[in-house]
Amino acid sequence: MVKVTLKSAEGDVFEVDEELALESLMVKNMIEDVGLDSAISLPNVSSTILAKVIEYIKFHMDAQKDGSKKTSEEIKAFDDDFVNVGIPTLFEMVLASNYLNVKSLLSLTCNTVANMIKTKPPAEVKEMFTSAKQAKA
Amino acid sequence: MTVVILSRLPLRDVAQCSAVCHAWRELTIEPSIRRTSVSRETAWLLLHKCGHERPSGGKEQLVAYSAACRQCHASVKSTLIKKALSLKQRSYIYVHMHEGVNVRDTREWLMDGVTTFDDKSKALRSILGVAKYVADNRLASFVIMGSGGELVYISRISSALSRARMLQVESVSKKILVEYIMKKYKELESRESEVHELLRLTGSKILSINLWARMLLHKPIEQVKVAYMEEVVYHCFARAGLLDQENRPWVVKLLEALRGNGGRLHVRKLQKIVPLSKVLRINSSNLFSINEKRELCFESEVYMDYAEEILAEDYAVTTNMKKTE
Repeated sequence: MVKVTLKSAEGDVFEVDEELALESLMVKNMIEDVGLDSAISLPNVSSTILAKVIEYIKFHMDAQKDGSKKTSEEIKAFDDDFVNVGIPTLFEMVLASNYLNVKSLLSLTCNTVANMIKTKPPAEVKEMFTSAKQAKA
Repeated sequence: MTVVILSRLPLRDVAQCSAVCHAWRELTIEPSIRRTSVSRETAWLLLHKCGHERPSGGKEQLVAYSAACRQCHASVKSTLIKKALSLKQRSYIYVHMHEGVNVRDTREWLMDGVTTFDDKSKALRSILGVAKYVADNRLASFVIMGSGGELVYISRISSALSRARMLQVESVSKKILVEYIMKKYKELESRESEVHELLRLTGSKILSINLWARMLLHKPIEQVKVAYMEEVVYHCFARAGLLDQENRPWVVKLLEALRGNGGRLHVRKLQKIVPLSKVLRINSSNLFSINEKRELCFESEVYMDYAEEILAEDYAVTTNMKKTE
């Protein structure tokens, strides 16, 4: 199995299977451009987030494999648990999945944020986003 | 990024989000938020663009648009109306429904909407607000009548009527309108001038003359302003050609009441609006006093035609008087 080296913003190195890395369209393009030899640096993604993204992709790839025993309930439970993080982390994940171009994760995180906004009065929404911004800064 | 998230929200929430901050407000104008599906786009248009933006282009697009309108028909009805959106928005929805969907749909929808509204006055006002956009005036009046608008709204109706150029309303709805007014005329007593205006708007033909006179006669005569009554009488005579058997008794009664109340028919004024011959045709009864008849004849160009008749009558009366003496 060919390995791909991903380098996070902090400089941490992640070695992942090529198959897994190709789930990200952005990484896929990079591989096509520069080949597998050099590490692919992802300056916009921090280590913690990259780890989470890899965890997500891994789980879903396993779930999609033939002979997987995971039921749809389990997958849903994983997804729910996966996005059950603080708002700042969630936002970072949205940005990362957008940057890495992982469609399924982007959809999941965006829906989560959308659900958070839903039915909230404007003032609360504003509060939510400003606090997230401050935490980030 | 925010746009991607917003495009996943229901439009109601998107609308709310536009109130979060200026940046978001700009964002919510982003077409991609609403262009995820045709029905969504339509709903968006219904809610936000206030009719300034309609799908341009081919027939297919328009068909899709109207289909989408129908599609969101149910949801618009159930959510928007109940959730007490601003009246302005409601009216815009009406307009849209009208433009996008065929008239029958709109009518059903409006009627339904009106009956479910808690606040009929608001509903009425919003309907009348759009009345000027409504191509089918009959629809508007139908709605007004159908909603059984309480008397309080009569004044609003009348002002809105003129605004909506309800003069062009077909005779059917005129009839409905007048009948409606007459049904309520007891309560309308305090609103004489408004009713007056309303009747004038409906282009009072024979029907309204009849009802008009009847309405006046129904009231205790001393309460009716003489000037107003006179005006009605002149109006009746102005349409004397239309006075048929059914309506004549009412006019006669009215005239008698007018007399009883000390009012006087100004023959010259009358003559200006009615050909004398027509007046005199009604004249065969005791509608006019001899003096008035005389005056009419001497003022008239057709003096010769009628003078003889009148003078004969005059003579008979004079001889009668002499006899009694």
